[in-house]
Amino acid sequence: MFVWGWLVTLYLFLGGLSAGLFAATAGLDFVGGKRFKRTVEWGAYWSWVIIALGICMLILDLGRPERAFNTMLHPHPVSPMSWGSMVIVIFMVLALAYWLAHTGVIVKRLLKPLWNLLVRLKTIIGILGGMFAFMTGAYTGILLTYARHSMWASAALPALFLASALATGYALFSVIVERTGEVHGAGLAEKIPMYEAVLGVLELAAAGAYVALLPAEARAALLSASNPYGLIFLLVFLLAGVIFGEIVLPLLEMKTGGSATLFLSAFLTLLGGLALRYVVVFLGQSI
Amino acid sequence: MTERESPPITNRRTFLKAAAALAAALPLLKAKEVKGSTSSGEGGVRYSILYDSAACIGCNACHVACKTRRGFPIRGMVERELSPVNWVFVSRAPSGGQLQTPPFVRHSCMHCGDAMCQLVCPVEAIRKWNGLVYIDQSRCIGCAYCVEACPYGVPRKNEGPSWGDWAPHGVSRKCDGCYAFVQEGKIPACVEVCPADALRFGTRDEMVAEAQRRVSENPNLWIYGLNEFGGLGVIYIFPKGFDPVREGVFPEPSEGYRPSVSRGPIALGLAAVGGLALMGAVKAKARGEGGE
Ligand code: SF4
Ligand code: SF4
Ligand code: SF4
Repeated sequence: MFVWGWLVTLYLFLGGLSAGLFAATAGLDFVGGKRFKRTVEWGAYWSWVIIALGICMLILDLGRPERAFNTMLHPHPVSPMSWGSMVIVIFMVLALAYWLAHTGVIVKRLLKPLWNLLVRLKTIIGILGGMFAFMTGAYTGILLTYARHSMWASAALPALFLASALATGYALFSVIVERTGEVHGAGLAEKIPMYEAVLGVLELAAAGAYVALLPAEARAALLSASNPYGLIFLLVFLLAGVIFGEIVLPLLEMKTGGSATLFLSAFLTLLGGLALRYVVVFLGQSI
Repeated sequence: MTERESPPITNRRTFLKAAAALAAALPLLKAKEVKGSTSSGEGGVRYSILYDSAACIGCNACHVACKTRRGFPIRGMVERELSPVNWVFVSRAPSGGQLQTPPFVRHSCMHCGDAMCQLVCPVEAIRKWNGLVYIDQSRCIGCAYCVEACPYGVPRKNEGPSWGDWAPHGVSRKCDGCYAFVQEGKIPACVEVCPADALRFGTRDEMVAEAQRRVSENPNLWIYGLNEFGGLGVIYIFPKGFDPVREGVFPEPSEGYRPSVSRGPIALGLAAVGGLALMGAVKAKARGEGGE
């Protein structure tokens, strides 16, 4: 019954997570440079590792994984999956290059000229990587809008997936920030939850637009508490993920100045992001 | 022979002549895929199938003939679900609308003018030969995007074992209009065996003309497929009082796939500009504040 299942769900989630993490990491790098070295290194590292994992999920889902390279050998420019594959591969390369430019792992010793080039181009790689991160986040939604299912027919789906990508990526970023502890004392600590709340409000608006632009029967199924998918959408994604994880808890953190609920907030945000992809993919194919 | 019995092109001799002429002319035609259009694709003709629901007796000989030609398994009962090894079947519509008895409906690929499956395929594995939409199984990666995008829900990914040369494991399969057989001068197997003259095969113009002739002879009939999805390559004749869209058998018609072609890139472009602007702004602000 489900042609696209968990592997595609995870691919959509991981693609967004990686994109959001990269955008936040490059942003912090631009703002603070060497002050946040370890945070940027870890952020860049997880960005390319997560997108690589997402690509693996996609390849595993193919009926003929050994032909995956056909997407590069025989591109079809009008197909979103064709140009989308290019976008995510370029994004992965940029994220990897960004990480190498910051850590120098391997290249510093073995490929000195490449290392010099990466260091020189660091800013451009960061800006381009940010651009491709946004494209990756939106692409995962665009991909679905070409299919026939009414749940995927909302024109705001790319905006919702992009907003969710930024929010989930930022949630993971805030965990990395907390672990390295570099922003404490840099005058940025209190801004971390503030930006999370801003992203939460944006995602709430995108979710509203997505629901409003859905065909009536899909909207009814999605907002129905008697349907398990509807329940997951309302309780796990909207209530726990967006409202509680991305808005209420970060606002509380801002007020108290502590980070006691940071991990809970990040966990709920990530869970909400995964729940969103799950509901859209599975409910989408069942109505 | 009544007019209804005189096939415009399914008359074998006429068809063979036309096919031979076409085969001779093929090398001269620039076999170029015309992407994103209602064109015939490779070649210059647009072939179509005519299905007359009012003439159909629901015997499913078409179903058996299609399977036989490809060497697919034939089970005891007619399979009323498309699959990698079941490319066509006929069943009664679940409801008849204003009719007491629901009419028969052929379920198979429509060989759409604007074939959404062809548009979304990331590796150009879906092509058209003289209007017949087929999947090049040697190129298909089994992503199932065509399965999700086809408005009629036709292609099926073969998750199971291979079934001979026509349904290898892991790729998507569907009716290909028997294009390889048409190239050899044959006609689609389903059309060949139909005992009730409910199926015809020929150029689209001929099939439309034949449909119009049948409808003009019987005012209780009407034609479906002339404009839907860029004009279908399967022209249907239904009894009046039955609307396959209203009864949920066929999807709501769209304006074709052109809007999708531009919508995706526009959304992607907006995201790119947004990302570039944000990253650029952060960098510029940081520089202004004396950051790195
Ligand atoms: S019916 Fe579906 S599979 Fe057949 S040509 Fe149209 S879009 Fe493609
Ligand atoms: S399953 Fe095959 S034919 Fe269908 S879209 Fe993917 S690559 Fe193309
Ligand atoms: S045209 Fe050929 S492949 Fe298609 S249903 Fe008829 S016999 Fe089967």
